[in-house]
This record gives sequence, C-alpha cells and structure tokens, in this order.
Amino acid sequence: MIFLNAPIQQDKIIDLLNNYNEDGVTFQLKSQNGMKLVFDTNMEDSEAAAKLAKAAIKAQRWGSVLYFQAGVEK
Amino acid sequence: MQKLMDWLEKYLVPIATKIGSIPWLVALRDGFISTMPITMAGSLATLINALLVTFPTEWKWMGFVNSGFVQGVVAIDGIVSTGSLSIFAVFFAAMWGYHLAKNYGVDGLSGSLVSLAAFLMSTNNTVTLALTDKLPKSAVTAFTNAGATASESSVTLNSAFSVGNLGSAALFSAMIFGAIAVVVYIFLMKKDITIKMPDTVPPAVSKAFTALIPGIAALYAVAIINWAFTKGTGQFFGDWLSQTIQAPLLHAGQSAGMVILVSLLVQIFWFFGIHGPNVLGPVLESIWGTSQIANITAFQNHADLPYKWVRGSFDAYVWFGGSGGTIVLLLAILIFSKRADEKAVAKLAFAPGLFNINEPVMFGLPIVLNAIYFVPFIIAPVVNTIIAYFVTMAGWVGPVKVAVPWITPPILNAFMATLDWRAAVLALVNMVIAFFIWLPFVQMSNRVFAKEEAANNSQL
Repeated sequence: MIFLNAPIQQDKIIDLLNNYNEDGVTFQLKSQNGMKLVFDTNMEDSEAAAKLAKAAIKAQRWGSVLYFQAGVEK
Repeated sequence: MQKLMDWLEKYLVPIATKIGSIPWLVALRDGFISTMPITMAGSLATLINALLVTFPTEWKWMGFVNSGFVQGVVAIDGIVSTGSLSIFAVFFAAMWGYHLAKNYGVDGLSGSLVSLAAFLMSTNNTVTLALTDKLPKSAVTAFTNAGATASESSVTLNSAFSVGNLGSAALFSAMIFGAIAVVVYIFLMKKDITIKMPDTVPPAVSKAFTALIPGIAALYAVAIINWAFTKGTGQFFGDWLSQTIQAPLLHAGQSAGMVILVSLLVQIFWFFGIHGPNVLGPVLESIWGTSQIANITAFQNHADLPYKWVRGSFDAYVWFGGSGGTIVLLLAILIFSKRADEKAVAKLAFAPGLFNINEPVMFGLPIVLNAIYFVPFIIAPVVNTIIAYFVTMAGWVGPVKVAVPWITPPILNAFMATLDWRAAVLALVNMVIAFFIWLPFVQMSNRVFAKEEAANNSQL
C-alpha cells in the first residue's frame, strides 16, 4: 500500500491512478481522509510503487506543479 | 482567516496551476534547470579561485598565491569558466529549444539545434577593439590585409564571436530567437510539411530528412528578421535586445516590490500544495537566475558585480530549512512545544531540514492547509526578505556571487554564496527573527490542541 498527501487535485490523482495500467502495475484507491489518499497496488515493492505513482502524477501537465508527498503506507 | 484561505484557493490556486502547466513556461523553467551542471562547474571554479587566491591575497599570503600549484589550478579554473558560465547563453539556447520542442511533441534534439542556430544568427559576429593609442598606418594596412576592418582608433574582427556576447547578457536574445525558430519548426512538423523517406531508410537518416524543411524554414525566418533589423537600424538584433529589453527587466528585478512579491507568492503557493518555485520558475530564473550568472561571471573576471539581489539570495537569507524557513519552526517545537505528535515530527524532520528538505514537516505536521501555521509561514519569509533585501542593498553584506546547491545547510549557504562572513551573520539574524515569528503560533497550536484534548476527554 502507498499513501499520497496531496491537498489539491485529488480527483484527478484518483482518476489517474485508478485507471493506471502500465506493465501490469495497477493502483486502487483504498481510503481518502483529508489530504491523505491511500492506494492498494499489485506491485510487491511498495517504495518503487510510491515512486512510480509520483512520477505518473508529475508527468501530467496539471501534476507538474503539484507539491505532494508519496510514501509507503505502514 | 478561513475566508482568506477560501478566497486564495478559489482564485489564486487555479491561476497558478494553469500558469504552471503552460508548455512554454515549463520549457523555459526546464531549460534553465537543465543547465545546472554548467552553472555549478563555473561556480565551483569561482569558489576554488576565491579560496586559493582572493582570501589568501587579502591575508597577504602572496608566496602561496604565486606558487606553481595555485597558479596551475587558477589556469584550469579559467578554462572551465570560459567554457561554461562565460558562454552560458549557448547552453541555454540549446536546452530551451530542446524542451520547447519536446513539450509540443516533436523531436527535442532537432529543436535544440534549431534554437542554437537561431541564437547564433542573432548574435553580433564582429569584435571591435577600441584602441587608446593611434594605430600606425602600416598596422592599419596589415590588419586590413588580414581581413579585419581597421582604422587609427579601432580594429574590428569580422566573423568572430565575442565571449561577452554569448554570456548572460545574451539570454533574452537566446529566448526570443530560439522561440521564434522552434515555433516555426514545430508548426511545420505538426502540419507534416516534411520529406518522407521510404521505410527501408535507417531511422536516424529518416529523422534527419523529416526535420529538413521545418529546420531550414525556421532558420531562414530568423535570418530574414535579423537581416531586416540590421538593414533598418544598423545594429544587431541581439545587441538591441540585450540593451533595450533585458537590461531594464533585470534592473526591475532589483526593486523591493518585485523581490517581496515573489517571496510572498512562493509561500502562498506552497501552502496550498503547489510547488511555488516551479510555478514561478520562469520568472525566478529569467530575472534573478540571469542576474546571478552575470554576478558569477563578473566575479570570475574581477569586475564589479552588476546585481545585488539574485536567485541565490532567496536561498541564502529566506528559505533556510526549505521554503518558509521551517528549520526554525522545528527548533521552536523541539524547545517549547508540549505536543508529543509535533515533537515526534520535528525530530524526524530536523535532519532533512538541515539540508533544506522540508517535505516531512510540510505534510507531517502539517503546515500545508493548516490555518494555525498559515500566518507565520507567509509572514516570516516576507519579513526575512525585506530585512535581507535592505541590508544587501545598503551594501552591508556582499551580493551573491557563487551558485551554491540548494541543499547546502543554512548559514553555510549564505557564506559560500557571498564569500562574506557578514552574510552568514545576516542569515543567522534572520533565523532568530523567524524563530520569534513562529514561536507564538507553536504556542497557539499547543493551546488549541489542549482545548481539543480537554473537550474529547469531557465527552468520554
């Protein structure tokens, strides 16, 4: 599981990651509490999954300006 | 307070998000960022020279300064500087074209070459030496026979670029002509006005042919503009841009209003979860980044520094521990807070904070969207900016003249960037002031938390 602390553009982030499917990697929103979003992922390496999610968001035109935190949900 | 935050979120945040995602501005910001190895190499050469020559000369260690080792290092630094910062606009032109083309979905490498060629076309390719003594007629004839344009008082070398015309003073010329050429190139590529090769042709050859018509058209467009301008005014377009557009804009960047406004906007953007320096990167880098490169180059050439407030001034005096000067917030929490949760975050965030990484405290505390910390997060950096600006403008500390990596710890950053111990003192004074701005809000956070705890306990 990974978490994202993102105060804005949450809908776009959820939409992007819920529909993400590259190289067999998927994310699914598990919970949303304030600015914290938690996603389930089928990647074994959660740290790599958090980095992948961050890169996927940053690659978007709307995501490149966002300031958010991505990490492993313990 | 909540109304102000709602208003900012409703009106300012969408504008910032839009600005930050304009491909042009993103390319401009990334163009500057891509040149970091060049600026850092040039800055390192400047720093080494300062440590081996400037300070020892002040201390009259002339034996050391004149030693073969030091002179050898100085000569190597000179080579590094000439091939990096002194011709900075060349590297920027290439990177700007690359990112612009890439952001519009066409081949970045071709865009880079087109932008570079367009910049060089707009640059004065003559070098005039003004002579203080009259040149003898035989020397005038010798220069003329060698292909130069010579008179008794000056010699003009044709088909030669002056290093001075390829440095920071030419950045706006690189921006404008790079943009014109790459836009023409992108337009024709998108319209598919290209030469198509059969599938049997290797991809590298095919790619080069595809770029042929757009590339030629882009460069001819720039050449025609330059030719017409020089014909009409007798001046190179690049020289005119540098004097008429760039110089006044950089001068405007030295005004208190602009410096404070940028400091304020960066903080507001951070607070709402927008990467402030990213959104404002095009402005920060084009104005204060350019001024900084001019300062570093001038310092390397032992000339007067042209600008007092540059890009590194924000890092040295305002953004210690990260934007918002959050390292002092961590100290305030560690010393005065009674909240276990805040103390735990502060302990975890302190080590990264020393290297100006404040993500753990921004999201862990959090500061982002936290109404209690909104005021100090906005006010402390603005107050620090005002103090540092006026102290710098008064000449009480030297301006920034070395590019220092942003992860350099506070105080040390200020010293290394200015090579002036008074700058380190100024950074320390600013940190103390910021500490006292943050402190009442840390205490307020404690009181609010205690009230909430009491309310929760009474409900139980």
